[in-house]
Amino acid sequence: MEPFLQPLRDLPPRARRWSLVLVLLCGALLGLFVLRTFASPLYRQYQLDFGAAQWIEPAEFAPVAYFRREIFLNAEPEQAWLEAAATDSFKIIINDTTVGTETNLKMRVAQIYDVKRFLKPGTNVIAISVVRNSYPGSAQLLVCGGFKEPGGNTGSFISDEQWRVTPRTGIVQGTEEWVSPLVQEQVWPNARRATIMEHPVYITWVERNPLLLRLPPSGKWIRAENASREATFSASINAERARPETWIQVASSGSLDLLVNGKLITGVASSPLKEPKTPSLPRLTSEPSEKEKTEMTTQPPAIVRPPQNLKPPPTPRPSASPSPASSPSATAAPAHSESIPELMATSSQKPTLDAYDISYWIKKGPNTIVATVRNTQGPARFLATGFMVRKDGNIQQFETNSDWRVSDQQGAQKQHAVEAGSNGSAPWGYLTQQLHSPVNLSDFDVVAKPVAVILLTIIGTIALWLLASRFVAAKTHEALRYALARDALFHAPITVGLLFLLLPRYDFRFPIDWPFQPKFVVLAIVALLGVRLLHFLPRRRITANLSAQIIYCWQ
Amino acid sequence: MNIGKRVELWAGVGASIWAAHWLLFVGSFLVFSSAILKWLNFPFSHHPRGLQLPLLRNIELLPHLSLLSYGVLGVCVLATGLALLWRSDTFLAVAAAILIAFWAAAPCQIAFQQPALIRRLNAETQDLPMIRGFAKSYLPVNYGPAEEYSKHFELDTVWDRFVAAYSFLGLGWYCFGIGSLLIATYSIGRLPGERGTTALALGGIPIGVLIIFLTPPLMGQHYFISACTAQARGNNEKAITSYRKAMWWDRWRRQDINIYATIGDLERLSGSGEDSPERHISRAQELKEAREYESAVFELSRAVAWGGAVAIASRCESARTRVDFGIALYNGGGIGAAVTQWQQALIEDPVQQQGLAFLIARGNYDLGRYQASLDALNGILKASGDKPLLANAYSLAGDCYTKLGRDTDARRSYNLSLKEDILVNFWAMSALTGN
Repeated sequence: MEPFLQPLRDLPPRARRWSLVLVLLCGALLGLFVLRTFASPLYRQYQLDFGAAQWIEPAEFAPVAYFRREIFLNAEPEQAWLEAAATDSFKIIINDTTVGTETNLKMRVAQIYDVKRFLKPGTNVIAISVVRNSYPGSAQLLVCGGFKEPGGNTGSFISDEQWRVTPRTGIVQGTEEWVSPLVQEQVWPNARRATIMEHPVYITWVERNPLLLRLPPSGKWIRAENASREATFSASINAERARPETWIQVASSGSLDLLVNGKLITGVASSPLKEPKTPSLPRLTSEPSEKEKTEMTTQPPAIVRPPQNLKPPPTPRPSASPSPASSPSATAAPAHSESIPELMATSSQKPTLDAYDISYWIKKGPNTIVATVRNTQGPARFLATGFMVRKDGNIQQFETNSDWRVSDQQGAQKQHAVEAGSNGSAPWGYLTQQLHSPVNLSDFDVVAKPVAVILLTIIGTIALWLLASRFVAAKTHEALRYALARDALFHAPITVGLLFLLLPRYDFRFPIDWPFQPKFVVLAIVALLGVRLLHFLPRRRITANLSAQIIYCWQ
Repeated sequence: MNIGKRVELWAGVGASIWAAHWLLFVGSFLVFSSAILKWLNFPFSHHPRGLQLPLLRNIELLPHLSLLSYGVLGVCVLATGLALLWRSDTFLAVAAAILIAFWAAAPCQIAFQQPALIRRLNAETQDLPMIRGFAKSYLPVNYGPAEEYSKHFELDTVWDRFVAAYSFLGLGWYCFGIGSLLIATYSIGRLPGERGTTALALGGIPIGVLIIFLTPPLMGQHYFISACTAQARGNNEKAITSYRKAMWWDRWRRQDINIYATIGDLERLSGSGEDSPERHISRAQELKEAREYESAVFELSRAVAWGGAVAIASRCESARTRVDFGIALYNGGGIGAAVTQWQQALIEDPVQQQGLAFLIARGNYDLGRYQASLDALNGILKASGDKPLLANAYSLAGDCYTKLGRDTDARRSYNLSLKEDILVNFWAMSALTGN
């Protein structure tokens, strides 16, 4: 090692310092790219497709606008989704229940929501308030949504001039809230098509693959033949390549531990359900005063404020447990005579369909999915549905069915699972879909792997620098220190290029993982190798002078 | 020699001494001053100083001077190093290495050796919005914009806990570290002979300390991951064994109620451990989720009877359950019963549930027990270092005095409230102006 590093000592101190800084910086940046591209990729982001929807705005200039639209459903939908984009910030309220809010100043924020639990048979009000703070201009909105009813009827809605919009609500005291279905929509002005100067119109990226909500619900509830309370379900899915984009949505009747190729995706011990939660804020329950009612009608969205100096009901209830009224979500103790679906429906909370991006753990060939469900109050049931994006862009779906294998705690013998109804069947019906991140319990993944990848890349870059310089010095019969200094300089354009590549990460027009693509890493490595050909350019006087000038400048 | 020349001479001597030893002077100043600076930033408790942060045991509710504290030991080590400097420079280098070891040990000890402390810090962070929000919802005139506290820590991995502990460290710790590094640089520069070898050898002291601190939690984490994986594969026996190994290695896991509950669930499904503390905890969790709080507390009391680490974890969980129970009772109108539950929670876990004192004071005020409310508020005023919380406590005390007819005391309390928080303290302002 000593003779290998000796030429570094021959360099003038300033040249040595700057050479090392350049090479180390280049190595560290390249290490970051290698890490984020191959070893620890960032999460994916998606651009929403709004189809034929139009940007709409109030007829008159209004930076704050309240949009609404009524849709009619014959039955509770089995699938319903809503995509929205707006200037700066928006809040979506469906049937008086807040679906979600998004805020990001100076941008057109976007999001997609699963709204099936907010919709009901009959007239439904979709109300969206948009506030534009960043620069002059009216609040603008873009909406696209769809739903599917049990009979197979499908419907869709998009933002257009049929939407109603007003910059003020509650003009008359005592009228209904602006989100109420009782509001006379006819008296509200129509929205108009927005005039947008910028082309193309960029909206922010979202973290949820829209296909999770747009694809029709699938999958069967499966259980063990003996309806045991604990069961381990397993299946294998084939992938035509390593790390294709793969999503899985899972639901279970009890606690769930999920493994994909041995990697823990979700686990009971790390589940937030078991985390000690901050107790909710005790709130005073009271009727708002007339004054506050007035405030509510003039200041949407309404904020219910307790009246001044109001005390809670003064009659303490020394009951052992809180009254049912105070705990509406309290669950009753299950009766033993109930049927299994009823028992499950009453003994545990309604499960949700939790979506995980498992792309990173999928390898080429067969991939094993193992899920263990434990339910202390009923049979262990499991539902999974997912998809994998193929090379050609098509979707390969997979789901739980009787082909899955199941084993219980005692019996190692695996049997075929028994189907216990399809997605949407009793007792839970169609489940609410939620986005989750796989758990990461490994300090190796969090700390050691990134450090190791970056360090190894730095070491590789330095080794390449020393070797290439030696080779060049031998070939060109010049002093090694000249070759070292010149070669270190060649790292500068690569470093600058990589730094420029990082910039789109902070530009909302690009997804967050855009800079970290294999082609950029390969390009950087090829450039790092190729740039060394400059050593062998025809040696004229100017080249020799350049070497001397470099050394002189760094001295 | 006139005075001017004498001053010039002394200034020259002073400048040359400063130029030669400025690293030592600045470093020593930083280390000495760190003893009286704050080392830990609690969300609303008093922030302990270097002299008050004990090295080996947990910090108490009200921090006080400890002889075995980071501040005292740091000062002693540095003073010894400086005193022995005339004999050999190596002594100062050794002292610097020990100081760096202390500096590195502080976050590790909080993260890995004192689970109660990191839990307390985390709990206070999570309770802060509730406590302040509770005060804000008291009077509509004090209802400002919703406060957002983004500080939420994931404590799943060793790294997560280290980051959480690090984020609570205060100015004293930073001064201590910078001072130690400056002294180390100075002393290494003066070492005779092979400096590199000696520096490497001395670097072994902090590295050794880090290894001692890191090995148990890393082993614990390894077994925890094994347990989770075995559990996901349906191998309950192996999962329980691995969970127990994780708890043996890692103090944090030993006081993690979730692991006990998970073991209890697994035992229940396997039909083993009929009367184990884990079964009681598992049952208690289930009852708590079903909002049968009293039964949950009873099950936890049976787990407490087993003693040891499980008793500590169960007692904390029992206190948390009582807090939830009290809130449910309060929401249902049972304020008196709620206050009783909160008081019992405070008795069971006086350190972790300190924020409860505000709820108790408020509950007593609602019940018309103004003197009891004032007593509870006194506890907050002694133990809290959070200005908005203190302002609210003074305002509530002012309300109590008003109800008791002690207008002078009430006025004094409102003024003290304004002194703590004058910017958006509408509560005290409106009370003083009579609105």
